[in-house]
Amino acid sequence: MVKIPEILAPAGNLEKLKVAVLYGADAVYLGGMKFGLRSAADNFTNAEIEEAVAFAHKRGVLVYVVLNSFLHDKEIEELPPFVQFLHQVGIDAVIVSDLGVLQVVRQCSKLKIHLSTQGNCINAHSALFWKQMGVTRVILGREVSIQEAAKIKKISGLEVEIFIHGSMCIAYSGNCTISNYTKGRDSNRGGCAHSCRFEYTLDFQDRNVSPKSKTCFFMSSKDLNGIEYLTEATQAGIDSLKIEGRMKGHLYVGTLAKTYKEALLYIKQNQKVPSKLAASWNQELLKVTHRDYTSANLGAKASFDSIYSDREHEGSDFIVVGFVVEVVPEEFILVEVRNAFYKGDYLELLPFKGKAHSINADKITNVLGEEYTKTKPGTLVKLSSVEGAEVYNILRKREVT
Amino acid sequence: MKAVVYYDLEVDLAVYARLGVGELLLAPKILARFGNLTILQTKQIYAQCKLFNIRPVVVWDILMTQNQQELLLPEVRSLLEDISIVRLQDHGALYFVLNHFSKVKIQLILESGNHNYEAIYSWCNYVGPSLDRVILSPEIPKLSLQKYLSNMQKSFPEVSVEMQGIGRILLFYSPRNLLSPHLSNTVEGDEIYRALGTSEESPHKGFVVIENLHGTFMFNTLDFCLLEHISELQQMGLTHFRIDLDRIADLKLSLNYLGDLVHLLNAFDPKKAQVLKKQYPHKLIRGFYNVNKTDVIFPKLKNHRLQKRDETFLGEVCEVSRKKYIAIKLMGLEAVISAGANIELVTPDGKKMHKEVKILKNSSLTEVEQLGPGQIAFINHIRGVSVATMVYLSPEAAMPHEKRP
Ligand code: SF4
Repeated sequence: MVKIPEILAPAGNLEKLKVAVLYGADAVYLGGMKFGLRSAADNFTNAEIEEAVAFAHKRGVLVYVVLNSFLHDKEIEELPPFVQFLHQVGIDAVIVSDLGVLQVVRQCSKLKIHLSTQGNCINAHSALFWKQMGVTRVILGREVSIQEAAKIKKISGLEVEIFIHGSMCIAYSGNCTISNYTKGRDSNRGGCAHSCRFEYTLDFQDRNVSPKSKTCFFMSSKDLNGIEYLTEATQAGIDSLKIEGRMKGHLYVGTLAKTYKEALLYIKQNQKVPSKLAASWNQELLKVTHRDYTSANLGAKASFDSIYSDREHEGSDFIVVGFVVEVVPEEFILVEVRNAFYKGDYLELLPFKGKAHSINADKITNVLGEEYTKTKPGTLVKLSSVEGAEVYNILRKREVT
Repeated sequence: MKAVVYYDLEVDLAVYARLGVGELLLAPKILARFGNLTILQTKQIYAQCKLFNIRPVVVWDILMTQNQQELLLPEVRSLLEDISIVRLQDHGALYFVLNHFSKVKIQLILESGNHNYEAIYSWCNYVGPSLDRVILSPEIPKLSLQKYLSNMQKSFPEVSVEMQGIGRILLFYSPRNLLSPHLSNTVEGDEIYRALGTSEESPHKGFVVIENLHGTFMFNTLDFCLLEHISELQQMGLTHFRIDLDRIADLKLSLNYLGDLVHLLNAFDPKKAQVLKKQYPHKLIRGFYNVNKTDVIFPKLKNHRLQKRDETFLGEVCEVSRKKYIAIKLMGLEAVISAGANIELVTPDGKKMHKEVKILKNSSLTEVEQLGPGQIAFINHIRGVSVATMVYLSPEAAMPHEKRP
């Protein structure tokens, strides 16, 4: 049977980690309170990292911790105790981009080291260099195709990880400092202000430009969607497929981990993917927030149609209305409401495995048994029991536009 | 401190020699981000430089995917056979040169990141005797730079150190073609596109954007300049000051200006530095030289009050029913709440209160003695508590009995 790549999902906080794990991720990546790139994400306290490791390992899921910010001297000095802590709690690898950080990790632990995409590894010679530095896996830049990734793996003998889904920097990772100079926020330390998503007026002076192009979003990338490349990635022996998005919500994390994992499991058993099934996976991916999708460089060099020519907004067909927080079989499911829904609404309950269950919210009560016709975010409601429902299942609803 | 200048095909080497330029960067079109020399031209000029006592350095600063690198390697090999110094950024290029052309000296570009000495030291250590120079990031502030240069002098006295001294600030390097798709009149062989980009969403107007065969580049609206700090940089131990005068379109003016800058480097005069700054055709900034505060905003991006403390954390309030109950989602691995326990509540706006759990119920509203991880605890209503309030065991309650007040 073919070996399928690992699905590596983002964990912006402990709850999202649990969602990712339960919905099928083989590994998760998270950040501590310091040293990672997502400074605005919730991130994990040390106790939460311990809990994350316990929760994930119990279910056979690996935990990687990001230390991929471009650190300054002071932080380098503060790093050793945190690295030692990570070693003690048994995380499975750290993700680094800076050679100084890598040296500190090597000096004070035996942790496995993955090179972050910020380290800009996009060819086999670069992978060989990082191998000499003690790295066991390279997270390749989003500029490489799957076939290039396969070559890099073959030549270097390292594990390779590629991005399979999520937002994309249009610049080579680590090579954009727009925010540093225009906003005073270091994008390589988590301060990116997304200036590439702005609308620009382009003045070509003496050249003819179509009026449509004069004011445009010329450097905003569409989001990566690699669902159609899973067979190729499997055949190419890619070790890990990464989903971007530690800032994204539960619906995103759960839906993507589940869809990609189920697709890979299907590919493991069957050589060919029927087009109807492929279409259904694609449909699932439309249910999470996203810009328009592109396969970017996975197959061939990204062309002009990889540019997102619209104002920065992320749409989706569905919204998350809540999470199951308790199940009392044959009596009720208790739901923590995140977005309002109404009595009589058709909702989808997304189980950890298999097809979504369609349910009718024909009876909504609070815990006191009082009936509601409309729910409010930040409340708990009871719905009729749903067979197979489990804690952390996501409830979603089609967006009415 | 010596000047480092990009070679311009229109300028005679003799002119550079006369102006006192000691080192020239030769940029081949296929290997350098803004190169325009063929490989043959590069080789020829490289050889000629020696006649003028100018040190030539070949620039190979593009980043290359596997396929691009494979395509380029035959030409690169032929070039490296004829040269003895190359400047590079791509780690693959570095590995290749070190392993296949061990006699070629390397100038390593560390301008992207490497804002700590541990990293700089490790790079120098790795490249070893082949290392000719490191080019440090212009974002490194003075105090750090001083420390790095002093350390470098002790650990790697034979390695020179360069920084950008004056010129355009590169903000962005993308492999994608971002300008040409907007042009209706591109012609075969037409490979360089320029535009000025302005966004209503940014107060900065007129970013220079250039697309060429390597992708798209964007520059800051203001240029970088450390002219008035030349003497200080020299004292700190900076050995090379890079001059990029692409902004001065008129060749004669640009050469005159270059001559003045080389003179300033040899004999620093603060007044002359000010005059030269004024003559520069664009607004100048010194970037982060005095201080780099590009991360002070980060703590503000987070709501500190919402950041959990690890010890004694029980969970988060997920529902408040006025005058009836509050519901707490028990989140910690060992989160156990009991009837009669003292708890501390920290509201999203930072208010702290200590209360007793008078009544404890489960979701069926049955009274219970204790609830544990993953369960929802319904307790007596507490005024002023809202959803997302963090709940902890009161510090005293968490203390061993004998230590409690
Ligand atoms: S501005 Fe755009 S290209 Fe630059 S770092 Fe941010 S997302 Fe990436």
